[in-house]
Amino acid sequence: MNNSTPEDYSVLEQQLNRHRSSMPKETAFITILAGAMYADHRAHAAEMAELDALLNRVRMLQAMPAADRVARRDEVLPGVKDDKTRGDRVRIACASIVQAEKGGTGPNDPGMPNLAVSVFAHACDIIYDDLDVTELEKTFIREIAKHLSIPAVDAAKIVEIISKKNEY
Amino acid sequence: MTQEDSNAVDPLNAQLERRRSTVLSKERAFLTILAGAMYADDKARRAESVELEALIGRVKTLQTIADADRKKARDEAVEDVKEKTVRKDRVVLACNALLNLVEASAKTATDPDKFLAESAFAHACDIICTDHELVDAEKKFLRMLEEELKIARDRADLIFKTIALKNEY
Repeated sequence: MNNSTPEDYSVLEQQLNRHRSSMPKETAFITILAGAMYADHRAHAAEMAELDALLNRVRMLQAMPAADRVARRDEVLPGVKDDKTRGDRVRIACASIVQAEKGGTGPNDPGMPNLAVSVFAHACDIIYDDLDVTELEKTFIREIAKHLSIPAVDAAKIVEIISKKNEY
Repeated sequence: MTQEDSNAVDPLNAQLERRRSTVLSKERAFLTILAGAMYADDKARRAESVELEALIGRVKTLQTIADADRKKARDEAVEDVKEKTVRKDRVVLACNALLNLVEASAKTATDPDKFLAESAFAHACDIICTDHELVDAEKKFLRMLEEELKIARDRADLIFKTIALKNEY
């Protein structure tokens, strides 16, 4: 037991990865959008207002009563505001979105086609809103494209269209 | 018959097409196109109206309008496109104004407004896709916009597809 070699830790890794964290798709959606807002480690009052407006109009959250949306947002914000936990929360959110897109094995969970691309485009829209795109924000976009399993070519096309839209 | 062919055989048409209207400012032209998108299906749904309101608050082109004047500018643009009989005319005028600005900036500016037309088109797609319903009148409106803003068909399709995917959830 005390003589473990580094190679032995792969067994531990396997066990640690056996259970992946996940979150409900609505929470995951809000986490990624709020993560985009805080990607440059600051969020202005105007951006927060924009996040609230967006949460009120995106289709994914339409079925939720307004009070529930606010409660879910408040539950998510501390995790993405904190630089130490944001990356982890967003990574889990991306994995949850990918899972929701795939759906389950039963007929009641057929999946949600294009969900990952939709979330990615919304996140780009938030980041390119002020056209002041920092290196931290570019890193955030690269990371979520990877974690949402969006091919680089598709991600680049989305970034191009969204950035040009927001140019004027 | 293309526009050039038609102009070759119709001198009156050639004269009429010689000048584009330049009366609209960039801000007014942009607003007219956005308001036109909202009314493309002859109804302004709540979701579209909320989106227009949100856009007016954040679209870069409209930031030059003082906060106090934005509501007035929006109301004027909406009034222009509300009536079906004049909507197309007003939107075509707005498209011409934007194209003139693009051409002028290409000649004079160091940082020309290369993507102004595509940006206006993408914002219009964003408004139309907001309510997750695309009716024939809206499709027609977007095709008209694509033509008037001289955006290539495949390019317009890519812009629409991207914005529609964003609004799917």
